[in-house]
Amino acid sequence: MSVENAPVVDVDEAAIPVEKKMYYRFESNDKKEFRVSELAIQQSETLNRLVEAMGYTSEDVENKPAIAIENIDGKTLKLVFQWCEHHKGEAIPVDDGSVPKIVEIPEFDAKLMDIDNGLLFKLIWAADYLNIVQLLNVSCKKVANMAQGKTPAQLRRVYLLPSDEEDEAAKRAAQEAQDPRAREVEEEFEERKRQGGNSFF
Amino acid sequence: MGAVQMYLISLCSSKMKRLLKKYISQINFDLQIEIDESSAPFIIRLNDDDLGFFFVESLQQQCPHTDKQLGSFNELTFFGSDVFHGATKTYETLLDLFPCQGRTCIAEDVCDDIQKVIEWTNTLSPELTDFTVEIQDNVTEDHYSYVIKSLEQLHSVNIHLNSKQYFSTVDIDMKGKRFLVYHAEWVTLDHLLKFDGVVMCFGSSLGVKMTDKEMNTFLKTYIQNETSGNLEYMSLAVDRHMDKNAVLDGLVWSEVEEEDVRMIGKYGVLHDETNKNGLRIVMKNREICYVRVINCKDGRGVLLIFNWKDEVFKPFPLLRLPYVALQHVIKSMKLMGAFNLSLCSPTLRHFVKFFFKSGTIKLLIDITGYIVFRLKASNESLCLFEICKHPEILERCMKMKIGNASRIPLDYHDSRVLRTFWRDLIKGATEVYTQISELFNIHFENLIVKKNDTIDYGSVVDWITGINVPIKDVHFGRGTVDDTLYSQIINSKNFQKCIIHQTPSENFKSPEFRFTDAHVNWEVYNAHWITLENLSDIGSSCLILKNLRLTNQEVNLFLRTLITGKFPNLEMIEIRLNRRDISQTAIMDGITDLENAEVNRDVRPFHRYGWRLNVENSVDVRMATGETCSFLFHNDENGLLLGITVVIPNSNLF
Repeated sequence: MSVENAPVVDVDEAAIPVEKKMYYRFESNDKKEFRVSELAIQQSETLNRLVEAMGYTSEDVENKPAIAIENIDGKTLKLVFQWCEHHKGEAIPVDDGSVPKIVEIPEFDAKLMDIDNGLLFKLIWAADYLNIVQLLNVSCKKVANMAQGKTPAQLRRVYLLPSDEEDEAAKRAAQEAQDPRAREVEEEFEERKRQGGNSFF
Repeated sequence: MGAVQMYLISLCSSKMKRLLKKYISQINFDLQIEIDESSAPFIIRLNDDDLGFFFVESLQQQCPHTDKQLGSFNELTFFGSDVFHGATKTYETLLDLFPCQGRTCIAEDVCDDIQKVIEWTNTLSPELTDFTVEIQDNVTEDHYSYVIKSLEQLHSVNIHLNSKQYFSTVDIDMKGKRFLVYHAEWVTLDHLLKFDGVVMCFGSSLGVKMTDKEMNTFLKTYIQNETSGNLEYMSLAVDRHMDKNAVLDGLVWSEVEEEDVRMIGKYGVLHDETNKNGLRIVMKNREICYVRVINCKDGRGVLLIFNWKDEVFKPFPLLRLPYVALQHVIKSMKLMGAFNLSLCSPTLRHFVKFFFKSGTIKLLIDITGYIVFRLKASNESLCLFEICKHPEILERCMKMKIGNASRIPLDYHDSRVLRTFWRDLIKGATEVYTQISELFNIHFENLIVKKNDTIDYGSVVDWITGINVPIKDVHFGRGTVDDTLYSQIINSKNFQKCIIHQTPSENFKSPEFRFTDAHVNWEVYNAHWITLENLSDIGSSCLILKNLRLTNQEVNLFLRTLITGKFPNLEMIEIRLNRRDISQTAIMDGITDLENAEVNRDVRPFHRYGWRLNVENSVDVRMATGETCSFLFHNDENGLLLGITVVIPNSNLF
């Protein structure tokens, strides 16, 4: 895809300072390209380190290929960069360790996250992968809010949680898959016990 | 003007017809076709009033002059060689003139060939909305079966079966149909499980005979998608009231939010019904269905099931999140959410426990007519667990396992208040306490106990003393209490700060009792039982003892011991006697000469252990340890001495 045809994240022109800012180009795993301001990138620790390490000049940004983000699709990346542009320049929160965490979801974020659960799941994955602390905070808070007023049985549905039986069965299957020899030994031991043998060896 | 007159006017000229159609285009008429042995009368209705009758009859009965015959002013008869052909033409003609929302055909089974009638109705355009068949009494099983099988050939129409006669052996499937049965006493659970209709309404005249348990079985089977997948709407009427708990037993549901309320608005059946006040249930295939259990004033009950098919629940796969994100989600949950999540599986319980261990959660318990556990996080978020007595009737409650107790009814007063209902409140308190104390890093801060007849007080005291964890602040309310229980309370080593308003019997004594260093800050309102012997050794820091029965000499002896420095922990003690003839001179004999003692008039506050006392006009006394303590005398309005407060040493006063 050419740079001219690349979808560009909506940016509030009035908010852009007069001096020339650098806009980096990123490409999602489905080859969608995005132009994101230097300041917005600072919200992502991963991307910020990456562009710092690359040390691109303004010319490099235009002339070199877009930076590929292999694990995130275009739809998700668009949300991520929209969020970063809206919150650019804001301080990155530091976890004070309090539990339960108090997280307020701003109106913009609430609208941005008015999406289906599949996309929300991808957004959280992306926020975690790109290490965008506040996006991770608000998106996880939205998921946490789903638990409000729900019984355990309802939560099982909401969060696609296995029942006790399914949980046990999965554990057993995992154990068996992990160590088939251990299972064989266990079966052999049970068999010997049935036969009345006192010693396994 | 009647429908017949309107029709005749429309024949006068095309202009008249156009004008007439324009005039009546906003009116909603109903068209009803009644088919019996002889003729097919078409009745045009408006608001349940018959506006006109149009008959279609065979040519044999035609008069010589015309193919139409005017009977009375609201009746018109059409003649034709083929009645069905004539009926089709009449149907089209009438619908061209009269806009009819409801188009109903009522057929009696006595007409020889119901099959032919049904074939005819399937050819009509626009289609009929409703087809009613009335089966007469005393029909044979074969005929009954023939009629039912014929009905199953109808397409896109509400099929009404009006028959008091029934044969439960006749196989009825109604695949993809809308089936409405007036007399439904024959409908069993097996029938319901086998029916494959889109709309199924049973028992508007005579209800089904199914039990609540059978209805519950049907609901469970439907929700598990083990019945027909076609069902969209069902109404199941019974001639009795239903036990909602039994019908909904074991189902997982939530209340319908205002924004999710919808009208049926489809197929023209149950058109007044909405899912308001219903229950939202996620089915196994993730479709959303709504269930309402209604007990009507006329003694009848109705179970309604709605499934619009366009609402699909999309879960959020929590456990597939990366670990850091999962941690964020759980840590962002409110306490109640985290608690409920922990009950979902051992894995989640482990996660919640692990993620919440860094936070300190304060626990406050109120025991009155019921038991309330308040959990308060450091960020002031709060949640309440109410342990309530199980009432006789408890409607629409879900159930869950709490600790070792299964099927405990519960509801949410709001998202922060979980009410659980128990036959045995103390068992409930024990189970809930065990759960929350294992899950959260609990700091047991406050316990308030008020004696109430609804709870066995002995069990309460047993439970409190049996918890065996230090409690920062305990308050026992007023009321007389059994001496054994009182003894249990005062001997507990877990109540750091304790206010006891309770009154033991007049004769209660506890010679072995001593205030130890576990009784850090105690306030005993009815201390008539405390003797000098009980005060011979004190490990407490603050004591307020009211209504003591000590003599002047005993008080004096105690105060003399006090100033020797025998009680190193004691920083403040207030003694109030049960009489007003206390001699200040006698109790201070040998301690200080009150006449010559200097009164310290400064206001010196004692702000320790939660107390905010202003010590003023006190007398300082030098102790054997070399420190100084302050004596403050309490007098009533007449100057009579009520009691004395001693602050030791007075360096604690600032």
